Amino acid sequence: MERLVRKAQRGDKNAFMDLIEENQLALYRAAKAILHREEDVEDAVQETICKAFYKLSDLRQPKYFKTWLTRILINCCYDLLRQQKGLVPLEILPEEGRADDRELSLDVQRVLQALGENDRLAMTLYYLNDISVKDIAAMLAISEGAVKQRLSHGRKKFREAYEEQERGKGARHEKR
Amino acid sequence: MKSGDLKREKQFRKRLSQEYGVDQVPPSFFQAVEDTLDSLPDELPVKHRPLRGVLRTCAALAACALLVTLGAFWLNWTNPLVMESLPGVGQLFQQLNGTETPPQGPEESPSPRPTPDATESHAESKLQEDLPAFSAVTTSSFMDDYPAHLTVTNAWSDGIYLHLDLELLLEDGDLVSLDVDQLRQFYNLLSTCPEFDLASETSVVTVNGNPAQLLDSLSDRAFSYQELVEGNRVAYQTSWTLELAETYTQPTALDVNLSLPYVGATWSDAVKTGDSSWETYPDFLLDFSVTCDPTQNFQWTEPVEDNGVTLQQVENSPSCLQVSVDVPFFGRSSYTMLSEAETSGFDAASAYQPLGIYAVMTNHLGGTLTEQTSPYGDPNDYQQLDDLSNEGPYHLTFSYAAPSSGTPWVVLTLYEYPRLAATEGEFIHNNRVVAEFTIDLENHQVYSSQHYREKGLEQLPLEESLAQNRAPTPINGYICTSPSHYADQVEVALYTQDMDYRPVAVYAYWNDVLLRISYAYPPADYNASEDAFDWEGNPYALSYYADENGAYREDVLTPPAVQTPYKRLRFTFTGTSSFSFTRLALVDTETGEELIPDIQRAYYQQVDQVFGTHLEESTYLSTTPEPLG
Repeated sequence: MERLVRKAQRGDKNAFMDLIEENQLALYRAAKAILHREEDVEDAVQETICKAFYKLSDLRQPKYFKTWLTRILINCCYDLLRQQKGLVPLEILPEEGRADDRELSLDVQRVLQALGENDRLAMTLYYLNDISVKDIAAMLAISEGAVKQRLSHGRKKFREAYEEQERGKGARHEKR
Repeated sequence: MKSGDLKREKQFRKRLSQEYGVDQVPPSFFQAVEDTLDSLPDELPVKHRPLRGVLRTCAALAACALLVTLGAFWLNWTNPLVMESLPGVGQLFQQLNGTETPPQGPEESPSPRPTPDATESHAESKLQEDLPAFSAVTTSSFMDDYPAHLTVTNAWSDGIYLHLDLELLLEDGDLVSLDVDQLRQFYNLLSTCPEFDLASETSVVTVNGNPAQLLDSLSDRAFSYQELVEGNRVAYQTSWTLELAETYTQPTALDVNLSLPYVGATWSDAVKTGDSSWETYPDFLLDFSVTCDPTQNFQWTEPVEDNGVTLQQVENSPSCLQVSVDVPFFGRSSYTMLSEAETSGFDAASAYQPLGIYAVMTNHLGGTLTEQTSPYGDPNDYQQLDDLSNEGPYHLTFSYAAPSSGTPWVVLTLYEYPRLAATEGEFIHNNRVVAEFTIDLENHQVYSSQHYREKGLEQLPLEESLAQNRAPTPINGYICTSPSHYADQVEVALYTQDMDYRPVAVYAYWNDVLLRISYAYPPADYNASEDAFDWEGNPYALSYYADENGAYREDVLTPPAVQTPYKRLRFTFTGTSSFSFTRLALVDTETGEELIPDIQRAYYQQVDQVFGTHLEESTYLSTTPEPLG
């Protein structure tokens, strides 16, 4: 991959295309972990490709291309969410305990839920995109300990969801 | 099962992909990527300077150099002592004037200037200049009944490693019939590992009858698509780095046998289609010879000690520079008490990373050598990192890109802290040196040195390190962590050495508007219990207070996780996804006194105090809260 990066930095568009196609599935997975909606994922990835095209010459160490590209993608995803979140009016709480009284649209709830799903992003980057804890920490501007905490939390949630599914399957088998 | 094992388990990754809905990528995504690539210009922007500017600059520099040289000789004629005393050029004038003094000792060598170094070494080209050029060798076979050709286009060895450049040329009618985009998308990487797992590697390379170890990662060793070649052939390429079973100290002809029985499409295709359907068994076999040249290698195995740190071994070759050191216990990163709220228990492995193990390698010009994590191994390969009771010595091996040919010496410096701060990527200025070693590549010597003094840095004596108080000065008795906004909650944690209950609360503001309050509660008011774990992983019951707005927890952190006991207060706000805070303050609820007006800002102040950074200034200088509504 480093050879392709150097070729692309010398202006070779084919090398850049190869790099993008080599990483496009990883980009899809990471964007999906943040954005969920397919249209938003496509928008964020398209924006990422354009930014990477014009900024590749700034990358000093080609071996960090994958983490550099993923960091651009994450920023694009959060930009998109912030634009969408801008539609949410900020309200003052006159006293504690009234948060449940407020109603938010389904779209906004989904967007805000996505903002909080940090362990899904960490799980995707680590297990599916094969990025190290150290690089994830740098990408998300958190400590390595925080990354490991999120992975631990994510594994626990995944295990619970999987066991729930298996129990559901077992119950269906019994009914038959 | 450890998390690292799960990473290699295909079934787990497949189930995870399904759970996250990324196992089936819609065709519209690939179309969107293709459309974007098509819309971009035909060439990427490249950084270059106009030739005219270069020539003008060279002319100016040449003129300046002439004036300086003439001036220096005039000054030497009028006042030779001045010129003889200048660093660097002084020795030249001593020789000229016949007053040369004996060579300087290693401690007085010129100090490096911190400038970036080129990342590529010229060692390979230098090596190849002295040896006869390698003649490419090819063998042919069939893949899916179509002709295929494997060529070793280049091979060289320094007697420790063998480097191979390989090309795979396919006359596969099925592949050739695909358009270029389909080739790139679905057959971009061809692997010699059927399960795309290192353990399933099928290729074997032997050198003089002994197996050589392939060091590259899975993706680096796979053949990547290059181009469609004239004659309807598809070309793939890769480069392999192998470690020889024995080290050669003299130029030796190496008989290399390359066996490549299997080639298949990679797991990325399997994720897309659900199964890895393209597998072939060409059974390529190649025999060829490479003459290794170890004449530029340097190996040092005599221990050298500095401040309790022992340099055990140096191995320099045109492939890479590796140094092994043993570092005693200088303390842990948790001793700084700087943390994020969600990891404030210092029970994550990164919290008890040892101090004094952070290495930088510089050359004689002050340039920094690039760390070579692949394929020569992770430079920070600690042993027993998860064992809190392990207090060294830590055996570490650092790998760097080989210094450029002609580099006279390099310097390995070990620092107390990593060069960058824990957050925001800023360099740590209060960073003391733990040990320094000069590796003289010309004279094949290794010795301890003190170039860091000329940069104004201090050494941290081993015998003083554990007695140091690295924690920041408490603010009204409290040390702050960085608040964590995680999922639907905000967590705030603080440390204090006052073990008695104090009625405090965390106030959450949006500008000047108070949004929420989280109170500390005395143990008598606790109404919930959960399993917690001590630093050894043993469970215990932790009582705490909880209601619909959040929770309050208290516990005590003790050595060896921290240097001295601290009480930890944790305030949790729940239901926070629908609003934001601009400020979190710690307030004494009895007196109303604001003990810490801004906990996040106080954390940055503490980081700046410990590390000498400027996080507070850079974070708060231009930040102005957005108006409400």
